Amino acid sequence: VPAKTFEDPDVEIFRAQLRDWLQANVPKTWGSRFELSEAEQSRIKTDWERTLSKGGYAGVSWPLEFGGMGLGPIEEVVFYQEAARAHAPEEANVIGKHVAGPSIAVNGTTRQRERYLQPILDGVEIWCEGFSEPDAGSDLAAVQTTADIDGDMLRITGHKIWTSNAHIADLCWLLARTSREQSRRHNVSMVIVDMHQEGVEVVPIRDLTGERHFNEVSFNGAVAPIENVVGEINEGWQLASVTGFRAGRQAITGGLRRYLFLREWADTLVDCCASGPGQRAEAERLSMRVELVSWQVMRSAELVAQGRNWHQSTSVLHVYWGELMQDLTAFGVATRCARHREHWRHLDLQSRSATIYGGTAQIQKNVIATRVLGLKSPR
Amino acid sequence: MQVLPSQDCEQYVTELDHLLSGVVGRGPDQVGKGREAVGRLWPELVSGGWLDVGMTAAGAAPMADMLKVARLWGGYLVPAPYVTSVMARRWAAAGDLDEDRVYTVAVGQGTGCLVPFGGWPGVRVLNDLGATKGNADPGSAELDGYAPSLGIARSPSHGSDLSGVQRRELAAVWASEALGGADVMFRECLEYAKSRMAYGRAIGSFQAVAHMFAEIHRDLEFGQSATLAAAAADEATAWLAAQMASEYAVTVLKRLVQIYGGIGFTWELGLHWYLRHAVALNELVAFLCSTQDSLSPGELGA
Repeated sequence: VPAKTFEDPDVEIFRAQLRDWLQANVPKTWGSRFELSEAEQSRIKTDWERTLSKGGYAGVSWPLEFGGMGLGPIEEVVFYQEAARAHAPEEANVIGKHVAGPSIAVNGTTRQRERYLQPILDGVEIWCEGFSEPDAGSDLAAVQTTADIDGDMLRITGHKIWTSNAHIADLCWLLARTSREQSRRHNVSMVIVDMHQEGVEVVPIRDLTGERHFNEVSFNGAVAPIENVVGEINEGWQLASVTGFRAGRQAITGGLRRYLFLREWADTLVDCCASGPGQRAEAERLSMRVELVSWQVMRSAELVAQGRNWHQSTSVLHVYWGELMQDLTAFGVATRCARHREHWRHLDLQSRSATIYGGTAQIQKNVIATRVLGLKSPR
Repeated sequence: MQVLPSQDCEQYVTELDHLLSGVVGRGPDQVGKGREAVGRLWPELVSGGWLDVGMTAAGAAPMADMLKVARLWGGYLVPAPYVTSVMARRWAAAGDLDEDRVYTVAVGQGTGCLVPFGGWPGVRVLNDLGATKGNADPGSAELDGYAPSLGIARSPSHGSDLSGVQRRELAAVWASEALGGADVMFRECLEYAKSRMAYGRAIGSFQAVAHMFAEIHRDLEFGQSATLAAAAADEATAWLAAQMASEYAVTVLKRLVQIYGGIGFTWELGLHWYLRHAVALNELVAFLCSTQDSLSPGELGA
């Protein structure tokens, strides 16, 4: 059977049906979100998760057996392209839908699948990711938080930091050390931790924009049943690096999620902010760079669908969109658009994080240089 | 549009690569060899049906295939009007072209244009495809020696009267050709950086150099995506995509000169041929993309 492509008739049908559905369901309030508070925007995003669930679009590429649509990377790209076209809200439960859920689907036990997957798709349980620590940012194997085995329980002690959405999360996808003897990369486990318990303290951190969307999380006597370990004990680093049936797709999904709002930002620049030939030309170039994110993920998705080498094309996505977010928002500020002045000033500050989170741009470039291009580890 | 080349294309491009590497060879010194070899190569391209890869039993081959072919061709810098001849056959209705002829395109729609391979013996300039008005001789042409791999002539005659779709497709394949050359030099430079030592270490292990490579790889990847956007049906964005794709090639090659250091600045290495080729193609793409009716004397280098 030939691999699916974007030209397949059933993909076109999927696109047409989705387009109609989005037109009927994208909340009109999202269009004026520049005027809404952070809390109001957050509520719209959470509601959108539930709307997607009701419409059947919550897990486009999740397997049917886990409540998804059972489609592939091609349809997932189409979903985000159309969502961007419709100026749909961003997702609220990124960690649940794109990190923890897919990994549980492949590496989890039957009980874990039955307990955790459906609530993710239904948008009723929000997840956060407990990876970064004060002394372990991009270097995940260096985490110091411990999960000591005590009978059939794990006792968790340590600090996580820069934990997005921990203040609204129900569950944490936690990376913690479970061995003091095993070697680095074979001494950490992936544990599902209930955030609503004693021993878990969440302290919001104010970021440089003034917002409080990420947090410091202290675990001091918090517990999780040992059956909440996902995959093999002490092999959590592998899960943190590769995410189950979406192996190879995480970078694609990351690019698509950014395309969703980059498309809208660029449209705002072209349609409103850029004035005069010079500014319009620059806005159009930035808009084209946004469109190239979509083309790059299309190429990557077809490579994934065909089971071919996709590393070359996916490895550059994060670096590209991170820098693009910064270039685009800086230009937004430079346009001095009266209507969107606060919008661009805020996003210009916020986009500083785009080359930091998920592995800094410098780490990303090291990874490309060594793992994709075969150069020796840079010093 | 189709995003990846067809399986047929993947197969025949491997064969074409084999033919080109056998006759022309690989490496930065191939430009001289290419000029020597073209007399032997061209008859093989014609007799082997390689000028007809743009035509399939179902009609014109997908643009994704044409981009792949142009990318391969660009890596060899063979000074022959292969890409334009392939595209001419792809565009032409049956019987519109003389099978034995070699075709090129005159860029510019007024009285003055640039003609790649305008000095090629017997080359014909495409004009009014499908209207059976015939195809013009390039006329008196003055060769531009800047990029001998493109043999660009300056001609006072009218440019090819191509349709908007044909112009956009040509811009896309020329950009892909430029990226093909940049990609070959990138691979060469990567190997060089793994073996060239400085301060007791391979230069590629210095983070500053490694990051340049990562950024170049990024630019080549997104340049390739830009050629797809250029070949797509969306006229509003295709021109800009083609321009950006060929600019990526030029930027990459200039950065490779930097990584090679002094040796990259020498004539002997041959890197400059790739850079000149990409710069010249970038100009041609820019002219194709421009809406002006004619090129000014300054643009023609007069």
